Order: sequence, then C-alpha cells, then structure tokens
Amino acid sequence: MTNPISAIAAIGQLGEAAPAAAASSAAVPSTSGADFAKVLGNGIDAVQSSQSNADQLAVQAATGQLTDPATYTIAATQAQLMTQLMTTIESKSVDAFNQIMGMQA
Amino acid sequence: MFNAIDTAGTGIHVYQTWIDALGNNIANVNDIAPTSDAAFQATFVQAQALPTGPDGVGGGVVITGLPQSDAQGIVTYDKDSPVADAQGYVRRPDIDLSSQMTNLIMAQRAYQANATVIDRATDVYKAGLAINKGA
Repeated sequence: MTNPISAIAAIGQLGEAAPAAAASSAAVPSTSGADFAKVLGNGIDAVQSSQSNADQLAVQAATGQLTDPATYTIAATQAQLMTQLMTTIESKSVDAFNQIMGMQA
Repeated sequence: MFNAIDTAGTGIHVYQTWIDALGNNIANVNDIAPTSDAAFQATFVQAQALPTGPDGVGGGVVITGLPQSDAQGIVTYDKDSPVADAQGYVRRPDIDLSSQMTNLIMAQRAYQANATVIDRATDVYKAGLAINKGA
C-alpha cells in the first residue's frame, strides 16, 4: 500500500520516514505529519543542490572553462528530472490530502 | 538517482577525451623531430569498467591512463629537412593516420550512442513521472 510513496525516499534518501506520507492508509499511527515535511524538505534540498550544480556548470560552459560540454547538459537534465520528480510528489501529496479532506462531503 | 544518465555520462566523458587525444595525434601526424630528440608520441586512452553498484549493475567506465606511443618514432631519410642530422635522418611520429581516423569514427559513434542513452533514459524517467498524471 505504501509503495507509491517510496518515491519520496528517492529524493530524500530517508526511506524509513516515507510511510508518514501514507497517512491515507491510516495504518501507521506511529508517524506524524512532521516526518513527511522533513522528507519533502530533504528532497527539496537535493533538488536545490542539483540545480545550483547545473547553474555553476552553465557559468563554466559560458565562460569556456568546461573541457567537456556534455557535463553541463547532463547536469541540467538531471536537475530538470529532479525538479519534475519533486513537483510530482508535491502535487500527489496535496491530492492525497485534499482527498482525505473531501471525505466528509 | 537517475543512474542511467550518470552511467552514460561517464561514457560521454571517456569518448570526449578519446576524441581530444585523436585530434592531438592527427594534428601532430607530420611533426618532424631531429634524431637527437624524441619523436612526437601519440596519446592512447586507457579505460576500464567502474565497479558494480548496489543495484548489481556496473557504474559505467573510467579513464585509467593516457599512455604514449614509442618516442623512437620512425627514422626517415630526409636530407633537405632543416632538422636533419649529419647523415640526413629525421624522426617522424609512428602514427598510422588511417587507424586514427577509424578510431575517430568509433569514438564519434560511441559518443553519439551514449548521448542517445541519456536522451532515451530521460524520456523513460519522464514517462515514469507522468504515470497517472491524467487522473
């Protein structure tokens, strides 16, 4: 049941805290909402560092310091994918939250 | 994360280096040195596979060295050369231009193959991220 959420571990590298996001399964009473926030925060930090890495390489490419231009395009691709992964997880989480909140209606 | 991209990136780096080395070899293919000096030495790129990662798949390729060819070169008779010795001999680099060109094609194709792997892997990862997006 918690499988879809393990993607969060991928960006946060904190697999154990991932079930916190699975509050919708209501089977994990021992975790709190703060854990998910932490995991998401770590994930966003990882995205941030990959983006700043790509930014640095972009400057090096523009100033001609990069001997291997593919280094930049690869880093930019990875930053793009990580950003997409982060926004996907964020929107899925908000969807899950909204669905729980909509149960009363 | 996104291992396929990192792995193909190591390949890109190796083939970029190989193309650089071949460019240098070809640029110097006609260098002539006096017999008292060393001939131009062609650069080779030595690479090996990276160790297996936690997922059981290898991590790509890494350059382990840039060995140089024989400094002896080919001693040729060319008495009109300004650097010829008293007997009229000079050193030419021991580079076979055809094999350099063949290697250049191999390096180019391999570079393109690795770039394609990155493109395809990006498409695959994006497809993974788009799962159930319509719902």
